[in-house]
Amino acid sequence: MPEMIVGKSATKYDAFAKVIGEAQYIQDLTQPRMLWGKILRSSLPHARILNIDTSKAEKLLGVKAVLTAKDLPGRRIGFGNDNEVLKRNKVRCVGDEIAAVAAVDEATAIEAMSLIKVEFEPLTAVFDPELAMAENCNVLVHESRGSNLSLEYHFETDEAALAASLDQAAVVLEDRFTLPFVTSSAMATHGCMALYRNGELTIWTPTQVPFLYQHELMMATGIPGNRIRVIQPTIGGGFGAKLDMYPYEAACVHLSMVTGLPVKIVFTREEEFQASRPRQPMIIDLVTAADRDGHLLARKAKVICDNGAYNSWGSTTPFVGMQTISSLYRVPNVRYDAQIVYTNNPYSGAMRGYGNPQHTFAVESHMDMLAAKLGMDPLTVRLINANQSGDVTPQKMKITSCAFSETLREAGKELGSLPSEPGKLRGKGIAGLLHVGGGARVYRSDGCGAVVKLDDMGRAVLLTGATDMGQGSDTILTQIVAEVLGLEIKDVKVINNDTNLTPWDVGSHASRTTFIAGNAAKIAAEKVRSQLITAAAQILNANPDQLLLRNKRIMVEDAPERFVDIGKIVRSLHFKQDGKLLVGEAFYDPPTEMQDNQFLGNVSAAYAFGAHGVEVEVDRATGVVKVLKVAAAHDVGKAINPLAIQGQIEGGCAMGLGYALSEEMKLREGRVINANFLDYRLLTAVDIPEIEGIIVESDEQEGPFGAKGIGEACCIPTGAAVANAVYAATGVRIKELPITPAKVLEGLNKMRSTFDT
Amino acid sequence: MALISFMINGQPWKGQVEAHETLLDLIRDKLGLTGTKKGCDSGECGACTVILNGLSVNSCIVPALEVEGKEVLTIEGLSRGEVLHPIQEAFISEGAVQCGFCTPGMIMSTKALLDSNPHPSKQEIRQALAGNLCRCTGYGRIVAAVEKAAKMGGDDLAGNDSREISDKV
Amino acid sequence: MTGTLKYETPHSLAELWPLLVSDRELTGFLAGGTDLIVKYKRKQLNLTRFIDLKNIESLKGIWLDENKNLHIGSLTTLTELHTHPLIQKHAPLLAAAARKMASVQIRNRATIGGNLCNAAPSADLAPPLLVLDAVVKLESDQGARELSIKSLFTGPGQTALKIGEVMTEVMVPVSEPSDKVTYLKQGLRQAMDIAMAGVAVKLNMSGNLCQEAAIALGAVAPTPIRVKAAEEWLRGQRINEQSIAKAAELAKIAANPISDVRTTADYRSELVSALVTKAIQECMTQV
Repeated sequence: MPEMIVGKSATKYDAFAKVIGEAQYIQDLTQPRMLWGKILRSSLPHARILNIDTSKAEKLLGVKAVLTAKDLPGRRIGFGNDNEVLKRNKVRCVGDEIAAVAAVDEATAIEAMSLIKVEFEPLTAVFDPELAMAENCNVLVHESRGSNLSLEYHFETDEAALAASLDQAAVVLEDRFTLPFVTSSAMATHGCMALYRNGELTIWTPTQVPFLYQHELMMATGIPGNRIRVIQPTIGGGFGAKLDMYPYEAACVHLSMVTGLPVKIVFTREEEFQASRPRQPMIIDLVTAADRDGHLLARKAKVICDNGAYNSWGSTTPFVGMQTISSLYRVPNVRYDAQIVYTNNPYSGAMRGYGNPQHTFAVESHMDMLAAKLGMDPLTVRLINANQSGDVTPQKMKITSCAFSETLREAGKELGSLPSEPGKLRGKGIAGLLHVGGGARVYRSDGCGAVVKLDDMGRAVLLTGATDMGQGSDTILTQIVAEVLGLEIKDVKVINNDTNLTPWDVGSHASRTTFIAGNAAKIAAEKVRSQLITAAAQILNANPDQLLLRNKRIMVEDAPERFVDIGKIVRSLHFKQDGKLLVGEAFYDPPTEMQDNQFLGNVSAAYAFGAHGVEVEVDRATGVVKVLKVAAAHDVGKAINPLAIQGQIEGGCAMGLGYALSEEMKLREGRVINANFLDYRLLTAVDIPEIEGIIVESDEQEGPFGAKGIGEACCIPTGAAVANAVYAATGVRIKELPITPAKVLEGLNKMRSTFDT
Repeated sequence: MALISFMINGQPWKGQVEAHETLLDLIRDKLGLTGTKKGCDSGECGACTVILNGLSVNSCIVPALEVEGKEVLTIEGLSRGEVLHPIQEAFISEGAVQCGFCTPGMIMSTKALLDSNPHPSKQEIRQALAGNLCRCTGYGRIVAAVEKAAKMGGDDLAGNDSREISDKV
Repeated sequence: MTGTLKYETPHSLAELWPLLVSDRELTGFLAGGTDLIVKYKRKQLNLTRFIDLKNIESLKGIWLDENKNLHIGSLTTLTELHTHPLIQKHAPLLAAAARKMASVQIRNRATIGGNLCNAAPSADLAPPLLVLDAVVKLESDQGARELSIKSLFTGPGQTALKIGEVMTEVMVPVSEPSDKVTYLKQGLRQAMDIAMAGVAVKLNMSGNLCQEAAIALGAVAPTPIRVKAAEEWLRGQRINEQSIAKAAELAKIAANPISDVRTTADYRSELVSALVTKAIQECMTQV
């Protein structure tokens, strides 16, 4: 039976509210008698706190509370419990939280901060992860740990076979790839509003993971979890940065507890740069070995991640990067070592792709270098190594649906036809990707709950744990429910922003929402559907197998004149003795497994594949790279909403192009020195070229209507594709992002001088 | 502190304003028009774009005192109740909205563009929106929406709202 | 923005002068405010008072005098610069440079006077005005004086304006149709960017022979500069690959760039040479 709604473009569920300016973000929320909170942050990257004098600030008219570490229970927070809400003895990075102020208005809170006097004893700091790990490094970010090494990840296949394959290889490439600090830069900055009242906390916050957040906030504040209600306002972009519970949020809660009033804290843009979690910079030493026909024999990666001062979710990104090293293309022998190193830099978190953009940059640069070395076509060398349906990778990831080869072929197809102008060099490059597309079992559960209730007017309401941070999952979920129940999209409403109402979910991360929450919504709706059919069969005196749900009616398939309205069926169930409600619930947890301590296991129920083709024009004289076109082909399983996928692809590519060409958070002694949008360059509408999104469907059996996740995948291979295109145009291989004109020109000049001599 | 009066979305407003207040703070905090967003507070992201006497401006760097006697149009003044402006319609139908935080500013920049240039080329559209950053969409759907709005509104688009507002002045 | 701040709105220069008797160091002059307000918010400026100049009508307007001088009021916005028919006709270089700046919203606010008085080494209007031999008019309660734009910039953020002086007008000799002019700017983005380097070139040709050359650079020295050595070299030269290369080299030598958050000094030097070359080449394509 063909789908009526799924597979067709639908406009965004919340677009109306957004185009008229009525959507309420955290910036827009207020409460009667609400106070403004501000965080006093460290201006030093590493220092002992000798004394904090808050007396002047406390006396300022309008100030309601000034808190420092001594006023708090002193609980450890964060992944790894290495952080504090307010720092007691030591600050470890610029931006570290020292004091929290609540005042009647923002200006007073700002003034109060300037009246707090902090006495520091500056300590020597370390900003380079390699130096931080050197034997002679006498700086310890966390003294109690005895070293600056926070975490290590190690995976390897059979050691002897790996060594043998390297010996046999016709080509062994070994290169260092370097990735910079970049940051999510959601257009809405972070912020939260807390109200502690009668032993109960309500917190309004744009978290991507409300239920994990509830737990983290409980651990941070000591308020029992069953007294914490998390409400999410409209989220102005997340991209991973809103995965962590931040110290300021716990501080905001304490301010409300102390004052008995609602308190709101909103980041300035400068704060957003310095104190929200960036994508982790990495140094990747990659070895790639292949036989003379281009078949991959082995890959070895040694990765150093600049963790910054504390562990955040970013410290776990090698979990994903490792999958790229072991499983992007068929490679039998693998070794992966990653070290997460403490420094006095800002601490890294999650950002779209979760370690994958960095690793894919290295792997896909090497695929091109391999092709060049063997004199092969870059597409061919990829196609002969491409993953195929049915493969089990060295980490025991089971590849189900897979249209990788098709995406590779599609992405490069129409590029590179135009001739160069004088003084300009043109080239095209491609790069592929592998990412989780069917959830990711990073916790014991990868589940999501859904409840569908159908009321007597024929309106369905979906209660789901899934968070929409702008990507459009609400729309997808309404399409799924409407499809199953034979309703129009407008008959389906979504409630998903209040932990008091919504069923549990792990959160919006790992590109899992369409797949996991979509399956949960589909199963819940199907439970309602079967109850409807049973009731309709009685009313219509028909065999349930013969009934169809269409256009808000249930009809007999062969005799469409025999029908009953869905609302009427519901009413018939309400208005009778021993009546019933039409509610369906589901908890979908995909058939996957946690990886064991060897990092073996099928973490995702499906994998997303794709490839980006990029055509660039390089100015010989200035080194300026202009991207002329991007063709991005993605294996999405099934496109539930093609318009939304197009938007995801274009947005992902734009983010990838920024990573490739213009974005870099520059630090001086741990301070972000370009903490504004003039000097941290998000690409503008003029810079972004035409992006052709190519949707490839592979019908994933486990996915809702065949769909797989796509959210992160869209931004992953762009950087490598640009680097490969620049190489194709100029012969200059850039192994360090971003690809600035200065680097390209330096490469061109070096080639010229080599040529001249 | 000074008393000012100006027209906001066709309605007069009069009140006390401080020297350090920006137009953005005035319309958000005193007038409750929170559709205009504060993304950077430095004139670098365009989320706060409003139309001041017919020209698009970053309201975060316009002193509130300066709007004395002037006309300001914000996102809230674009639709008429349930009836959306063609630009708003186009932003919905073309998928130009994701997280939506840049959307009001984008729409106001589009309005300013189409008022002065009802049939812009793709390149003109991209140039006109260069001061409005978006992190979600990659701009492609937004450009498509502006093209569609230009088609929907045609030459009439320029006249519509400004006429209505000036009638009330 | 916080603190007790005064906001003055003089309606004429006569009303302005008495305001300048005191507190002049703590006064911010508001033209477009696109830079001043941002700096004030970031607490990079300690101010107790804004003087909003925008109500002073005599600072506005664009007109042509009988000596073929274009008079541009200091409050003229960048949008006006790139759309005004008189500018487009008589100072097309200035119109083109204005169009390359910032965003529509900023161009609707930012003024020529503000851009020059800010005296950023990267000010986009400076190189074009330098090659056009513009003159600025400075006024105070003591009277008016005219100053060559070459003498205006004294250091990063520093001008020759005396305390109590206000820039009221920029005067630009009209460009002859035979003048070949180009302004090239290279940022990291194609819009909303500050130049890593900017180059303005004006050539007067007689056939293939260069009669006069003016070359100015932005963002590669403590102030925007003219490159005398390159200009003198080009005067009397045939314009060909060799003479252009030499001019580019001389410009590169004249530049004294720094490394900053936007790029390196080395790259800026390379860019000077590349952009001077391109700019001269582009001039030569103009008929």
